[in-house]
Amino acid sequence: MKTYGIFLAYSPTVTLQGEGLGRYLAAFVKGVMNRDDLKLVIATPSWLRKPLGELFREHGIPDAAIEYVGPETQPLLLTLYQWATKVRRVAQRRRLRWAEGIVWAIRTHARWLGYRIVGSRNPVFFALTVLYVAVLLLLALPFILVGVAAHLALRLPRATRSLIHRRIILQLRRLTEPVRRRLPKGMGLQRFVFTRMLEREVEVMVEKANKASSVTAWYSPTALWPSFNRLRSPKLACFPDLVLAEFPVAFGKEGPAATLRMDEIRETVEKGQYFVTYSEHIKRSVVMKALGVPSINVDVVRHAPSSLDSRIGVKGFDDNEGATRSLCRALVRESLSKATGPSRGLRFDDVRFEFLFYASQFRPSKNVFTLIRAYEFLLRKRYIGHKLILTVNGDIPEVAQFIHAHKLERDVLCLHGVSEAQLAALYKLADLAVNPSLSEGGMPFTFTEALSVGTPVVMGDIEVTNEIITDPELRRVSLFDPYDWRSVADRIEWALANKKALYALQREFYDNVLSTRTWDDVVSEHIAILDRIAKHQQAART
Amino acid sequence: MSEGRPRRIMWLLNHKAARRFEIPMLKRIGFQEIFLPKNFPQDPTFRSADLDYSEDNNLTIPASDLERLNKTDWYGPVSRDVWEIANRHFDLAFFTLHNLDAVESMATGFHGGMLLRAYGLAEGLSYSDVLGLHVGAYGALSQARQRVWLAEAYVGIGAHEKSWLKNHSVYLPLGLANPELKDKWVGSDNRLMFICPDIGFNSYYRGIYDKFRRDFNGIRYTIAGAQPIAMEDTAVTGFLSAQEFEKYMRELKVMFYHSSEPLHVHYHPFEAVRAGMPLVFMAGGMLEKLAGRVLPGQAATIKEARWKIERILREDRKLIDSIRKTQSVLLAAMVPAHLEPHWHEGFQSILANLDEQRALAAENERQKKKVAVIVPVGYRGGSMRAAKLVAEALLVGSRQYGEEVQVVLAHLDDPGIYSDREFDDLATGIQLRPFRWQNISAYQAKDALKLAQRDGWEPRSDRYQVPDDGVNNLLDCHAWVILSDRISSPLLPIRPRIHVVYDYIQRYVDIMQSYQDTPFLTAALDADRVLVTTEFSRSDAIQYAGVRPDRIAKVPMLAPHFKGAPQSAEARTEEYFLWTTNAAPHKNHERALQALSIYYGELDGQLDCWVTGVNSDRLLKMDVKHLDPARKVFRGDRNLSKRIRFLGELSDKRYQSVLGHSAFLWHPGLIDNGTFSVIEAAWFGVPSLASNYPAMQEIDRQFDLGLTMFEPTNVEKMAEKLKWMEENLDQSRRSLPDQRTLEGQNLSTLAGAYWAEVREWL
Repeated sequence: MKTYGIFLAYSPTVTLQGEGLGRYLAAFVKGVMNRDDLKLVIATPSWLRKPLGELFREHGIPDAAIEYVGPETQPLLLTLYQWATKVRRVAQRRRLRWAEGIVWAIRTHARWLGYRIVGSRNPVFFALTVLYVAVLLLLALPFILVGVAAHLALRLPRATRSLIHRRIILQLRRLTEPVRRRLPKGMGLQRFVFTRMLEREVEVMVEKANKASSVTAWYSPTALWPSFNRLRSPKLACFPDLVLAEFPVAFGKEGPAATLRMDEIRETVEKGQYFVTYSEHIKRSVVMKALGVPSINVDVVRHAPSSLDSRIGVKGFDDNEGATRSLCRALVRESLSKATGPSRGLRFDDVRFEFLFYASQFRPSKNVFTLIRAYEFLLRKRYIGHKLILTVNGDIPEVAQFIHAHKLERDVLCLHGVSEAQLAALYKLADLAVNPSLSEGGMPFTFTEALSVGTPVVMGDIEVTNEIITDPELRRVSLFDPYDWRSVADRIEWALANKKALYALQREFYDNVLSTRTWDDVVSEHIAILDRIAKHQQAART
Repeated sequence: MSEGRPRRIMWLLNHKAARRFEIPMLKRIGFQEIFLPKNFPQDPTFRSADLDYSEDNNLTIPASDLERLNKTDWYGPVSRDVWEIANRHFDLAFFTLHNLDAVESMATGFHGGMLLRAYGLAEGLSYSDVLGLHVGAYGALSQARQRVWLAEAYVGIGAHEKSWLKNHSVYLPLGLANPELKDKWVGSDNRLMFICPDIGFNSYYRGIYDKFRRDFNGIRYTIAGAQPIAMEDTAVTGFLSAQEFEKYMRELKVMFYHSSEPLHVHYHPFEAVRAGMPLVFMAGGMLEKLAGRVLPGQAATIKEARWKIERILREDRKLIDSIRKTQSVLLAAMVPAHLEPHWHEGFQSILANLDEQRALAAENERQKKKVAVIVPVGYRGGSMRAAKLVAEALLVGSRQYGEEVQVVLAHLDDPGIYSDREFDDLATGIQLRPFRWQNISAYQAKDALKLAQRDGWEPRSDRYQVPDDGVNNLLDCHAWVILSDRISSPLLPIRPRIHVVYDYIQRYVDIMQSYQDTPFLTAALDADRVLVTTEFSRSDAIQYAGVRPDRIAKVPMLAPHFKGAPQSAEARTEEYFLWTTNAAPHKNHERALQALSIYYGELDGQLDCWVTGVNSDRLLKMDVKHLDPARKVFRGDRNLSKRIRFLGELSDKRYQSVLGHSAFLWHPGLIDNGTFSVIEAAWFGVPSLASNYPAMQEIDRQFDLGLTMFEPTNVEKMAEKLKWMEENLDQSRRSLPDQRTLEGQNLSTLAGAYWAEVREWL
């Protein structure tokens, strides 16, 4: 039985559930579980133990299958922060309930008093009641005055309120200036604290991991953690991509966070030795060429397909497909409540409209605006009436402005933070999935995610995709030039007009080629590399 | 008996366990003829549903009627024709609130008694709450309340209702078809059994599942229940067949029932008790009520439940025996014979006045109906013509169906818009009613609906619009057909509202500010029906406005009846072609003028261009921003001022004369719902050259006009097409339809389609 380790050093702000990262981890761990000869250890900060446990349980991985290395209990400051956040949310709800309760009590009492007064025939009782009311009013006077002042303040013109608000904020900033000056550039106080907390956590993790002598080799799913190199056992770091360098202006506008990340990557690579990428393209053009790592130290392990049909596939009905679509409509209806930006608050009584779908965050490499341009052309010049659904955050000012400028508020919907089931449902109900991404670490998951639920897909013609889709005909019908919005539009229009044929061709490829590769294969290949580098290190020592 | 025939019931549910009890119970109390639906939605929430055809053999109704009923989807709106069949043969119908459109359809179409079968809802939720989500369903049921009952399966369900349903409750208890104890329990498998279906997609059951796992962590358990979405948790068994389920109840040690809902209980705890399996259940729920005392298996807290379960799993025989011995009292509450008297009593009150109420409902249906066709804004010209045509179509269509209706054409009361002569061409028999829009607050709207016996409705807007005709707000009309969606606030939902929406141009052309069309889209979403005249508009109604497809009906385009004969070849001057337009932004003025510039300047165009239409004579003088580019083009080319003649708005007679003498009609607009000017041109033997967009293609198809089309965004191609038309007039004329073909599309032929849609709402 060999033991391998996974090293995770995510900060407290990272969520795993519902994210691709979480699914990838769970798939990897399940792959290891399917082998009798392997055992897994996960070096993790304390705050990830519970979410990892929940994530793995959701994927049918029992708690006993995983051994954790690292601090067991959370830093008290983090616990306090989480508690305060929870209390604030609960207090908000409770405040509302208390307020409702108080209002109800006042109304009920006032009604009761009113009945007594209007129905009273006894002068003494009448006088006593009136006196009682007068006393109550006197006692309530301060509260009434405060209430009136608050009401008037709320009715102040927005500009005046904003001015007052700005003055308060300015004063607060002046008071905290000495502290904020000392923070690294571009880093807020919360991020600063969490970064320091992570550093301390990682120290303990590394210490305990180095004591876990049974671990043959360690794997890190990202090259963002220079601390990974402090582990003594053989190490393999995954290098997904280097979009920061490919889109320097766009990422440069984000501020120091991007350059900080770049520094971390360089440090991890310079002090590391062995790396794995998802594609030959990233291996050669980035890790070897841009970062100078020799070929012998870089392996390629391609993804297995990401399949979503288990999330929504209904069984046990005469018409399973109908029942699945019915479920998907309910899920998508739910997800419409997560509309952000210009599409927030739009009314949708049902989901019977046709749409194109692109699942992606808003990042410079994701090429969202080209897609929207192509879409507008198809809608207004070619009269293709589909909506376009994105999972980008529509509240990002650039996104909102672009959509407003093109008057597409009702047709481009930004549904942010959808769950995995909702994502699967969106893919299922879409007429066509589109991915215009300019750069990825491996062929985008869009291809397999869409096809796994019966939806055809068109994607950008980029190197990592061409490594997988090698058939010229399949390339011709599935790919477009992502730099040319007309090419995007043409391909989408063709795909919509030839959906069945496109899907048939793509599905054949998915079933006969892509699906033959499983996460077990991915795990086996990683294990083989870890074994090899362990032997190397052993040989080097002797 | 009813009307000399046996009483018949429609049991419009598909829940197989409930059916196993309720159908035999109905027969016990004297109903031998029961109709069961032959479909149910393929929806994960219908995991407990199946079909049963066996009762068809007992129905003594004509086979053709039974076939029609069997083919009907009872989980959606049902057509009037099917309700007519139901009214002929059935006295009562059981229903649920799965689809509120279906409920509205039943409440307006069925004359018999309606029994809302209430098996209980989650705590805090009432049937009134659910109905309140659909003003049409709630309103229709409210108005028919003398024939509506809340048939509660458990005592107390009705008491929680907030509306008139509270006073219309009748207790028809649910029991078990075969509640006899069949104690075969062995308990050889030391696991806890828990039932929790639908975990993968239902957040309610997901919450129950998560809580169960937390509360019973460390105990060996199995979770049964249908899982339409497969679960990876190996403790979740998924669907079990009847035999498998029996095996589990025989062999597993104990069942836990989690629910403390006071007004709802599942079947499986009773099934466990019947099988002799020890049941541990939470206090506060229906089981405690049915037991009438604290049973050994009852737990006040989850801690106590766990403690009892652990004892059972450790073979605490004393506890096991005391639970098994006492829990059978729960079955006593489910025995059909014990529950029968309640059914008798319940149906006595239901049937007391039913026949009289049915007769009243039928009488009401036979009363002559009135329909208002409302013109919501000051439309004139083509739009007003469309309104008159729709009004006439309803009148003619209703006569064709033998259901003659009175039609009222309601227009804005503004002499500045409508002169005395505006309605001279209105068809005979259509009343005119001027009105103004009145805004009322949400409170006033709620009170109005309550007074109209449509209580339970909650306003979603701060204010509502209602037509004020100085008489009774058009309430003498039974349905409102509104021409277009151009209203500024939601209409008071006091009558069925049918909007005729012609287009959603704002989706394609920048004619309004963002969100300015929110009230228009809301009107369509709130409408009981949306009528469109093109597939393109239908698609936009679904895609852009978000209207459900089943609420939209496409009706044929209505063209006016044109009088006059085509111009003879000799009468044609062919010195000009006619461009009908107005100042709207989507009329594509800039490109049209650019094309004309090329036509005259580069292609040696021989024909002048005469421009006509509302405000067309002031087109390039109007101080309107979107006309600036067109003005620039016009001023930049002297040819244009020499060759283009602006005639302005012409009377019908003058227009027809000008049209008849022209070489062809030119329609270079960008996108709209199509223009009838091309139909009129065809009537007078004049070919048309039109922009190629979806609505024009549909007009071309419906009227077989032989239009010559062009791409309206390419000015060179537009100019080339003008030249082609000039040089190929004879060919174009030959592809025109004759007047007889156009007659085939007259109002009389098409009117029925309009009436067919509106009659469903009367």
